[in-house]
Amino acid sequence: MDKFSGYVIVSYVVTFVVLFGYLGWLWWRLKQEQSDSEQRER
Amino acid sequence: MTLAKPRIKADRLTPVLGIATLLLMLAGLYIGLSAPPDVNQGTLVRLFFIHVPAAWLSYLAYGGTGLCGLLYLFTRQRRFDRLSASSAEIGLLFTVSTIIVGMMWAKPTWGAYWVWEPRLTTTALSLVIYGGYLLVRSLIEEPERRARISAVIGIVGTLYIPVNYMAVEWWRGIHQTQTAKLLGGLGFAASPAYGIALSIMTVAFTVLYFYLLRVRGKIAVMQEAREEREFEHVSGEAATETGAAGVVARG
Repeated sequence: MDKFSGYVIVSYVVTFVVLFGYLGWLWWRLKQEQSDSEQRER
Repeated sequence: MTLAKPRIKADRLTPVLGIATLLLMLAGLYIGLSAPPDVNQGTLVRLFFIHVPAAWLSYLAYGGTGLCGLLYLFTRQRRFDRLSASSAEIGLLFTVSTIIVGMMWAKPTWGAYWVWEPRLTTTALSLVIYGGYLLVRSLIEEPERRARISAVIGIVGTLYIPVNYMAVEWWRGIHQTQTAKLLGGLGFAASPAYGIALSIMTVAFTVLYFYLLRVRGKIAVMQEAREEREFEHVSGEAATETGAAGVVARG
């Protein structure tokens, strides 16, 4: 740990929040499309 | 005319890519975060292991957008259009990530979060190019026209990659020159101690790109099928109304 650690922590947190946020959004869109497709079939 | 159903086959490769990404990232993070601090930059050097791979991923994604656009124009197969659009979205996301981490690196080393110098300016321009690409796609409803126009934007936008990569050589700026030299003889401008972690993280981000592309591509297939269903529905309704109007007119 040094005086730059704050920048490093923020950067890693932001990178993985962006990545997992995108993965979550992809998952949500996939579920939306699947449920829409199932509704149409019924 | 029959409705196009999304053909989603049992997919084994996507989970494999996801697991490979996770394992590679864990290994890369472990090695990277336990690497010794740099003499001048201290622990800031650890930004290297996410900033460079994220920038690499965005190059890869923009390259994918251009290549798939080109393949679409040659073959007119819709899957290339879907891949092109998916790739642009991924590229845009990782450009944002690259810029944020870059700003975190810039503040303690340059004294400012942002400087309008060639590398940063061209990176910011890519947000405009690919943001525009996605905007244009959202504004055109007719699929063939949308695919054709966005393919051209995607191909032209690919010019961003060499310009951004060479910006640190061509114009005097504050950004350091390339860490990994790919032209005029391979070279690595950092301590070998960081080379292993950077290589693993770069491979991890490359595999991540293909993982995200497959997942996003799957969504694109379903979106396209939904669009076609909606189109069929609207055309069916229009045909019924026209028929009814004809009956009234004849009556």
